[in-house]
Amino acid sequence: MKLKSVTTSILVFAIIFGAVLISSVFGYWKTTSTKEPAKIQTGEFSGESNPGDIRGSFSFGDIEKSFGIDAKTLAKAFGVPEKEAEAFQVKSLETLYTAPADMEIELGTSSVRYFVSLYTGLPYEPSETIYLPETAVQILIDENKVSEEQAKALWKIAVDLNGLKQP
Amino acid sequence: MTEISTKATLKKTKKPRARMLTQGFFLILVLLISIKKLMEEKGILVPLLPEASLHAICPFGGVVSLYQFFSTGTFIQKIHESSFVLMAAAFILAILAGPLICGWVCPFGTFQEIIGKMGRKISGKRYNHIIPEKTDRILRYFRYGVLALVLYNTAVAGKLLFQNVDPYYALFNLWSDELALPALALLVATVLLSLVVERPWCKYACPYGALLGLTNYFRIFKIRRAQETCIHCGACDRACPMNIKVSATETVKDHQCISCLACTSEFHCPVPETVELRTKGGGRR
Repeated sequence: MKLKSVTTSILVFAIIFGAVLISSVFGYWKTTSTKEPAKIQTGEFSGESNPGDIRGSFSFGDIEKSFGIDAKTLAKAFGVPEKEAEAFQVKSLETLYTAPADMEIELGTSSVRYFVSLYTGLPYEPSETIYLPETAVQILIDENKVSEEQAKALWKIAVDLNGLKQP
Repeated sequence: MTEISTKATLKKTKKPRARMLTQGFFLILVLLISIKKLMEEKGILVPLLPEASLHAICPFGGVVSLYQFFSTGTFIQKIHESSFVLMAAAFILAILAGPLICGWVCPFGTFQEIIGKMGRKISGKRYNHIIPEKTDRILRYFRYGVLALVLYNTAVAGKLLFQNVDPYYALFNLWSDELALPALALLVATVLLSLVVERPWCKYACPYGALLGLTNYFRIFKIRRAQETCIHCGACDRACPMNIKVSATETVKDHQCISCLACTSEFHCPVPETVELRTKGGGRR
């Protein structure tokens, strides 16, 4: 059996669009996030929403629905104006706050995941050093979400939002 | 000289229209999708085209997500189910006929070929033969280092770090605030190199090409040369954009082959039914 160029072209289109079609039929073709995080599969928290699956495209409102944290609390923690709380997308943090060139600090999706994990008590294991705004750490302490020991550790990774550049 | 190689039986080279049309289709599709995303971010709704980011339609996104998916059940940031679907489709194609994604679909490969057409006019016969053969052969393995690094870093960080150095992503995000300076620098370097070397990114640095290239060792349809009818004119070698010596082997298993079919009897090989993309023993009289 041999393939000529026209047959090869047909094969390319058939397999690519065939895969798209079949996955669509089974509801697996998703090019955007469903705004609902995956569930934790095993262990004590099985069936709960997974903070590790919070995406940059999620809004604080989406997180409120999945994790029960008030969008306004999230806005206060991350220094976002309260009126923008509901629709504010997590990924916007990266453009909202930029650390000076000599500081390797990033406030982004991982910071939100970590905050949600600490706030809800759901597990999330960060793969890198994660920073949290001082305001977020203060909320966790004020609302008794963390132990004294945890609080001490959190102050070490706390960042003053005023020290970060805002465009 | 055998009878088959007489002028009467030799044919003229034809243009690979089916491949060009396929490449053009995917290049335009990806361009439209990236423009649509930009417009929608600015609040302008664009009908018909699917709502997707470049990451969502990149099969390599599926590959770099595999570790996280199997360890935590989640996707890497910006990657969705669609990347897995396209990854599976790309692997099916590759197992059947090699890296067809590289030679027929990848818009960045097409872009390099377009620049290369200008390069061919500038460099003439030296085009695509400017790097000494020995050095070139060693450099071709660099992309496996890139692949290992990308897979490791993505697994550890859980982020698409490669985006910051990916010239393909830079090309389709020139107008976006996601454009990273290192990626732009690599894009410029790729454009300049494309003026003297065919598909430089694919040959030396593309991690996805490296992975798909491995299927050339076991794919079902291979480029096969019929020793008995070959006239050893070297047309297949000269036609190969990846500088593979097709005339030195009966079955091309080179990890760099992109299944473009340029070397085959349908295009540059002047003898009918001599260099073909076929199964073992398939279609031979």
